[in-house]
Amino acid sequence: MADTSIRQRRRQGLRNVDFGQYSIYIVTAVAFVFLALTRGNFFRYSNIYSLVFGLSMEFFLIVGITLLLIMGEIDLSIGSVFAFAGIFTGFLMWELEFPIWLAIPACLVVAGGIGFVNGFLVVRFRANSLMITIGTMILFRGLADVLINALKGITYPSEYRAIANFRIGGVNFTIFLMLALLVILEYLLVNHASLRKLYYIGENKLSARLYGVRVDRVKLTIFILTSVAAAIAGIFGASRSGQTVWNTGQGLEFKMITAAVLGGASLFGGRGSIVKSLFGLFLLAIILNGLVMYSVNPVWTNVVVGIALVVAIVFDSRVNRGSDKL
Amino acid sequence: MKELLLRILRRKEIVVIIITIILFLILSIGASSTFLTLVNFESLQASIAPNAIVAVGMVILLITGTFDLSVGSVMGLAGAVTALVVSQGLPAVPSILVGLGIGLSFGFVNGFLVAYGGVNPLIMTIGTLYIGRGLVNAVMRGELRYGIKIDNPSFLVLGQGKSLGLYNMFWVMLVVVVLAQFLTLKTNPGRRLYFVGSNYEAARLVGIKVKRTRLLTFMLSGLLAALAGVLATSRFGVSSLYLGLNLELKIIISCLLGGASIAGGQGLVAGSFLGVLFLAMVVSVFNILEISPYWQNIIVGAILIFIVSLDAYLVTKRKKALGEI
Repeated sequence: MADTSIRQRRRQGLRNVDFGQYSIYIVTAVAFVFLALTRGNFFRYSNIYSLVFGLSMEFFLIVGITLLLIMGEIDLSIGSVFAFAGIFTGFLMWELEFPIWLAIPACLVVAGGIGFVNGFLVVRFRANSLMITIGTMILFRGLADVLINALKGITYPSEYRAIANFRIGGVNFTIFLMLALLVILEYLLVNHASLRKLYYIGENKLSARLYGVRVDRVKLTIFILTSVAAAIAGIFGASRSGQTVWNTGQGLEFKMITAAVLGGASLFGGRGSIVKSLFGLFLLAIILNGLVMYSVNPVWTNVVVGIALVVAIVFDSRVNRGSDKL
Repeated sequence: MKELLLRILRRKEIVVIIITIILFLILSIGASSTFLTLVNFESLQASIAPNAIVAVGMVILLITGTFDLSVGSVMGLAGAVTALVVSQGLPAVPSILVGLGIGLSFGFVNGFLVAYGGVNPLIMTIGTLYIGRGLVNAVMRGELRYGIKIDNPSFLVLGQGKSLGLYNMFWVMLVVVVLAQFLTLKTNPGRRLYFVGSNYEAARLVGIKVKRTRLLTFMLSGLLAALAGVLATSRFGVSSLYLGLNLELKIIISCLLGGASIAGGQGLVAGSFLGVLFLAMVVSVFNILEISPYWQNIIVGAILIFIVSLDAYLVTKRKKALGEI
């Protein structure tokens, strides 16, 4: 007992300092300024623009993960869904000669189905979302590989390739899309009951249920949304690369979790913000960009990402930890 | 409660045993020319031994209610570094100790941060998975990328030599499995693992050193993963960039098949061995039927989803019966 009270006091003390509240902005700003000062190539319009453009595609992945983490759930299948959706849309257009306005909705419906399976098994059987989504991750990686094998190395039809390059006033529309969604979602999360609920579920599922939140239905909806959003990102990604690529999206799920945890989301649920997660993603992008600028051998990339993840999670556990649950 | 628990345990293992036997019969009758040959038996031995050793560490973690996703990377790194030092002329025994030391240190970092830092084991071990795999790439860069060849006979005898008709590495595996099975069921420290897994807080309150248990089980898992890496490297006589890649999920699937549960508190070392055997059989079936590896992934994923749902269903049912929900 004495142990817990000490721990509580320690947590209280840290909370008073408000440690960690703005750390992601500070760290990102420091990394940004450091690179801008030391490397001439970094602070150029073309480099920054390509970083932001990449961010606007991955935005759709980070949204789902953040919303799930807030509820204390997780989805590791997003990387596979990302790959599968991009290739599946191409497959529908190439092999089955679907027009694009039919291929994309069809693909999104299938992705919604994946999310439904994930969510249903988690909600209905109380299965561990981590293990279930590892299953769907392997399964849909396999399906993506089967499709890629069937397509061989094709270049996608031009109308498919045009999506990611659609520009408004010289700026890719995905960036506008990201900014608009960012404002809307963050507003809903902070101020509106529809997404505010997620925090209650993450804090305490039982009391959320007692107060009339339909926990199961909300969870199922967010799982479906996550898969559909990952599919949208996958379609953008495939459209941008323009051809079938092996191993697209491999490891994206871990990158997203790292980014979300860097941005203050907690695996214990009840915490997280889409803006901060996006900054976490931006920080990772800057770090990887910086490694290239400092011509670090790419073999070290994984080590750096791993260390970033461990540091972020240790920080999360020491500062943000809610309770002793796994 | 204990009886109910045991019944579920037994039932799941019996299912796996039955399916394994059926698979074996189908294979021996349907494809007798390819399956029952000596070559296949030998390759089965070589593919089972490292996985079963890793599975022992994993099932012990699962019993205590955690898991370790970094085992594949640790296996690969231990193999690569051991191959590197052997090829530099270090004698066999110190080289093996270097490899095992890597496993121990990864296990220590994982275990220390999970036990004393309160870090979530999933993210922690994903982090070390990345670091380990990155270090494999860093160790084996440039020309070494294509593999580090080993020609030290006293090192190679571990994986390629035979005693009494079985590969030495298979004997090592048998010793590890039997010893672990005995220790977990028949000794007090072993049985404490089950207490820790079924109720961490209660185990702490009755005076079990839960944090130290966590640390030691993670170190054991790292050590065994490294041992598997050393054995596999000795078996192939060359290190590979891909050693242990994506192994962690296969091992967890094997353990779940063998009666362990993500929720902790149950599972048997022997069960995890059966799970490994089962999965090796399934892969044999795939190969004999010439199913492409992509479809193998699809089927493995489907098996995992099924097993996890079943596991969760059984746990929920047990909790309902006990009135916990």
